[in-house]
This record gives sequence, structure tokens and C-alpha cells, in this order.
Amino acid sequence: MRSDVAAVRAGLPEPDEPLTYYHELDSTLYSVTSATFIGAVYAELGLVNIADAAGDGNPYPQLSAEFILAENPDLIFLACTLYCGESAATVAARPGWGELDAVANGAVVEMNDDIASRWGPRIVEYFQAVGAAVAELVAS
Amino acid sequence: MGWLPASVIAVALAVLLGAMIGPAGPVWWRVPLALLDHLPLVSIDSGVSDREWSIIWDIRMPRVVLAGLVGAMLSVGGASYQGVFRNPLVDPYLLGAAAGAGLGATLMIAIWHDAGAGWPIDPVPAVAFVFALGAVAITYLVGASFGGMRSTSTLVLAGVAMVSLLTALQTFVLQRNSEVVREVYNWILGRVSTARWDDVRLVLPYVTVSCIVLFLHRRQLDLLRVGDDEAVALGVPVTRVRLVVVVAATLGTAAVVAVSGLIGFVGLVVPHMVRLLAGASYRRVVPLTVAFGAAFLILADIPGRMLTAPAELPIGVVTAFVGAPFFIVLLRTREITR
Repeated sequence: MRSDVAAVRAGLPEPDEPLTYYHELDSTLYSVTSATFIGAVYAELGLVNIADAAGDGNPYPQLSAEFILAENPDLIFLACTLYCGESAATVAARPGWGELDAVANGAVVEMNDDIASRWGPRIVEYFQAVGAAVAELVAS
Repeated sequence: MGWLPASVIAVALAVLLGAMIGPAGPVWWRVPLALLDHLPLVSIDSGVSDREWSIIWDIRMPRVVLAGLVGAMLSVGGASYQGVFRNPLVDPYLLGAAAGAGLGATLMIAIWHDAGAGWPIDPVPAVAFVFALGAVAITYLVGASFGGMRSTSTLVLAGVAMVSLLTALQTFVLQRNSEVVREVYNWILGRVSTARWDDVRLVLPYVTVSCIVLFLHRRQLDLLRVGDDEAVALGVPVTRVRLVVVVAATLGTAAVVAVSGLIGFVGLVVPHMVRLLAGASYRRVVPLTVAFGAAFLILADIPGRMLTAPAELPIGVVTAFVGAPFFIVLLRTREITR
């Protein structure tokens, strides 16, 4: 597992500025900070979490929609796609969200609920999926 | 100055503040300029970017308008319930509207989740709405079968029993499906923070019809205050008026609860605030509770978005936390000045 994660990290392109991201737990905009396990995965890959600004004592804050629009994260990771039915299309259809760069650049990433919320050995696949999304965004 | 103009000004100020204050978006003083700029035939350079306008119009305004509608409906519903039941302690959740909606939403989130996948409308509010109306209908039938519409205490007690039963069922379902606890509590504590114009369009017809019916019955509500027998002697069809008022208040309450979650305290406190300020006559209480209820909830939503910004604080927490001390102060100052 360690070598797989190291391989993902080694293969990452280096953007000019660290990429920001928003990890969405559900459509009511609950998120995670870098103090959580899944937040640490992104931090490991050099991504900056916009929810860290809201994580004062609460690692799972509910973010304000206008804050997300103002922060304009480079990447949006949806962690509730199978159960909640969220997708890049539903995010783009939310009022105001069409303005986001992540939506315009196709950087809204639909993650697998089972890996995003049930951590185990498959977490390597999560690293790989995040790595692939970063590589695709930087390449475009 | 009369209370009616004051209430209109209160709503206008609340809407303006609600539109101006937020954790992100343009500087506050640009917001009124941007709003003016979007009026027909008006052109002002507000300096607000497209994304900032999107924050004002797509994010803040729907939540301001929805909070206003919910606050108005819960307040006027509470005032009307207090009138027809001649009981100052009741709120619009008395006959089971909130408990029914809560059970419906919990069942939909925990058990029937997959069944709602293909529905053309958002299934959780729809089921919550149906359960809210169903709960009140059962309470009414049970209470009325023991002569409830003549003796309101039977109906109130039937409501208490129904609320306990539904809450117990909801707790049972939640306890059996603990993985959805966060989602259900998130719904219960109020969903104004993720309001969209679609939500506004959903509740607007119910709230409008409900408010109009209650407004038309304000004189009968006044007559009911003197007692059933006296009201009958004055020509008020007591049973019919009580039924119409309960149905109208319940319909509006069920709609707002289904969309916004269970926002407590508003339906109890705003009517009493209005009575303390402007007197107990329903000719004033009905329109003033609509206006001040709207202003109250719009203003309560502002600390909700600012206190823990950029995180959200549920509006249900704010209404109780801000409203309760404010109400106590109001009670106290009124007692002293009398």
C-alpha cells in the first residue's frame, strides 16, 4: 500500500500554485477538514482544503454555499454519489454553481461512496482517483 | 407611528440586512446598489462581479425569502392556533404537524430512500408534507370523535398523544438506522441554509392561501376569545370557524415544515411579542405576526450564517438561543412599564 501511495505521489504533476478542493459529504454542504482521515489523504497529495477555514473545533463542518462560490475551489470531490445521487451534472445544475471553475473545467469528481466513507485497504484506489483527477486538471 | 407601517419597515430592513450580510460575496454596501442595478430601467455601476451577484441572488435571496415565508407562516399559524384553542401555550406544531413531518422525513431518509429515487419532486419534503397533514387529520378525527371541536381540551390532549406516538416511532426508526442520524438531524434542525428559489416556489402557494384564509377570519378569532357560548350567541359558527382556521394553519405549517425542517420557538414567541407590543386583537395580531414573524426569522438566519462562518449554524438553534432571552426581556420590560 505504501509503495502504491508513493507511486501516486511521485506521478503527480506540479501545478504553479497548490490546487484547492472541496470534499462534499452530501448536498447540504457538509464537508471534512484536513484533521479527518479523508482530509489527510488530500493533504498527502498536496491539495489545499477550503473547509479548513471552517473547521474551528469541528472536523465535519457544514459549509456556507456562498463561501464555496467565493472560494472557487479548483476541484470538487463528491463523496455521496451512489446513495445521494449527486453527480457533476447535479452540481452544475445548482443555482450559482455553474460559475465555478471546477464545473467549467470538468473538475467535479464523482468518488465511490464505499471508498470515500468506508476506509480500508481500498483507500489506495482513492489516492489513485484523486491523483488522476489532479493530473487531468493540470493537463487541461 | 402605527404598528402596520412599522412592521412593513421591519420586513424591508430585515430583507436588506439578510441580502447584505454573509461570510463571502461583495462588500455589504455594494449589495443594495447591485439590487437596484437589476431593477428594470435602472442602471447603476455597483462594481459587483457576476459571481458575486450569483452569491446575492442565487444563494442569499432564496434563503432570505424562504426564511421570511417560514417565519410568517409559523407565527401566524401559532397565533391562530392560540386563538381557536384559547390557550397561550400552543404553537402550530400542537396537533402533530411537526412530529408527522419528522416521522415522514425520517422514514423517507432511513427506509424508503431507494423508492424515492425516480420521483419527479424531492421525495423527503413530499413525504414529510403528507405525513404532517395525515397526523393532524388523525388527531382531529380522534379528538372530534370525543366531541373535540366543542371542547378544545380533548383535541389538545389528542394532539399531545399523537405527538408522543409519532416521536416515539421516529426515535425507533432512527435507532434502528443509526447511519442516517446526521442526515435526519440535519433536516430537523432546519434547512434554510441550502434554500433555492424552487423551495420558495414550492411553499409560496400554501403560505399565501393559508395567510389569506386566516386574515379573513381575524374577526371571528376575536369573537372566539370571549368563549364558545358567547361567540355562538354573537352568530359565529364556532365549529366551522375552528375547523377552517385549523385546516388553513395546518396546510401552511405542513408546507413550510416539509421544506425547511422543524424550526421551533417562532410560532410561540412571535405572536406573544406582537400581543405585548400592539394588543391582543386579532385584527392587528394576524397581519402583524405575518410581518414580524418574517422579519424575525430572516434576522435569526443572519447569526446562523455569521457566528461560525464560513460554517453554518442551524437556524433552529439560533431561533431558540436568540429568541428566548429576547422574549424574557420583553416580558420583563412590559411588566415594569405597566
